[in-house]
Amino acid sequence: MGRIETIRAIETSLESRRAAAGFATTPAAPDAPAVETILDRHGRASAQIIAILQDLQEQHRYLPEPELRYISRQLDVPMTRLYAIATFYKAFRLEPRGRHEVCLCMGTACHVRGGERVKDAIERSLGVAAGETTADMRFSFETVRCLGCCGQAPVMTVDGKIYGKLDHLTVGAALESHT
Amino acid sequence: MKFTLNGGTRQARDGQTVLDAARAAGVDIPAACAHEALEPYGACRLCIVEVRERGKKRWRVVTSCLYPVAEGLEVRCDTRKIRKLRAFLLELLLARSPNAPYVKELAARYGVSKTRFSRLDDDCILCGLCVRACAEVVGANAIGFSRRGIGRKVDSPYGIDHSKCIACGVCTFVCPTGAVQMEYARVMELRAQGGEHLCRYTLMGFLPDAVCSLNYECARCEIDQKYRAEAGTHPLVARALALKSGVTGKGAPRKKASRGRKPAASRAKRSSGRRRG
Repeated sequence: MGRIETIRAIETSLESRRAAAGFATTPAAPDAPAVETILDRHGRASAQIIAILQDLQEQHRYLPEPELRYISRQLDVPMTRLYAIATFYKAFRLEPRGRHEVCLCMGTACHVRGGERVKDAIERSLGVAAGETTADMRFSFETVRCLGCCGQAPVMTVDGKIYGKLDHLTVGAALESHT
Repeated sequence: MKFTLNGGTRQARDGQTVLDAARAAGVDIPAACAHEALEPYGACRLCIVEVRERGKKRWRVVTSCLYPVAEGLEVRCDTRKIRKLRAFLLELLLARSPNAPYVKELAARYGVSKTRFSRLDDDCILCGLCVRACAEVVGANAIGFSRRGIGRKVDSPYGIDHSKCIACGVCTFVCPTGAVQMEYARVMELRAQGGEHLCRYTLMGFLPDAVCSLNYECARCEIDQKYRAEAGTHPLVARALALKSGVTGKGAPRKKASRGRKPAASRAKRSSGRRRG
């Protein structure tokens, strides 16, 4: 038995024993056909792993665990490696994200024009801190460094749409329009 | 191949690193992340030396664990510059792990006893020995690094997933500072899964059910201790070393009653080249 087969055999036997002993096994099945499409697009090459994860994230807005485990098995890339990559790059997320992505600028111009207060207002109205997602999965709130339109400071984007010259009074209405 | 080490001419094999060649010549270079059974990594930077290639004027500081010896290469291991740089690295390490005996001892050898940086008190120096041993020696890939920068740490996927761990203990064995400890809970869980206990020698070949019919706890396993005494190192490390040096099948202690198993050499050939993600 080769090295890989040995490891596979151990994994299988470990997994079945975990199940038999009532321990949690791998949750939820992945959406295999969708992942397969992504894998095929990148030639099923483990060297393309970052591009593959990017595509996966585009689909789900985050990297779901079952999909990651599926990729790990298909490409023979250890889960530890995928987890290392997913946690190394800030662009990758392992937590589910809200339907709308709110990015508030914390750059110099926006800071001077009261970005900090807008941040407080958003946090109050959504009930989450920066980096978190609301319980109803409607919004994910993120602070960023600069959105590149300092003339409109303070600025936020919701799903890429720019809202400028905000203050703590107008920000609520801007958020309300996104359901 | 001839090269110069601290002024004296030495022999080296083709493809040998400066660190290996220096150690073979009896010159000790400190290195926290180098291990004979693992691929060189260059994480700790403690093994820095000054080198000058043939025909070049400039002395360069390089990590000896990654630098291949070349014909006519000049190497200086213990210059003032190197001692100074190394002392600085140790100061940083000391700030991270002020209570790790390994770090304290190494630092003391270079006259570093206190650090100017804020202390972290984390025994893990991120040398990656455990991670690489798990991948290269065991092939289990149960632990890896996560996050980056000051947040970097040794972790299992999602921080809790230990489904790949076979409880072989290589990570604790190679850890220089004692930061990696086997989770007792993991060992207990493996035991709870029933009589068919997978022991740490699984990768040396399936040892079906025999090992823990004795109901040993891994930490007190007599078979474990016997193997370790025989090999002088962790059995899986011994196997990796044997495979590396080409003496396949020897060196790695195996259970005598092999019950129709194939020899270790044919089963556990290293996959070609290094794993790339």
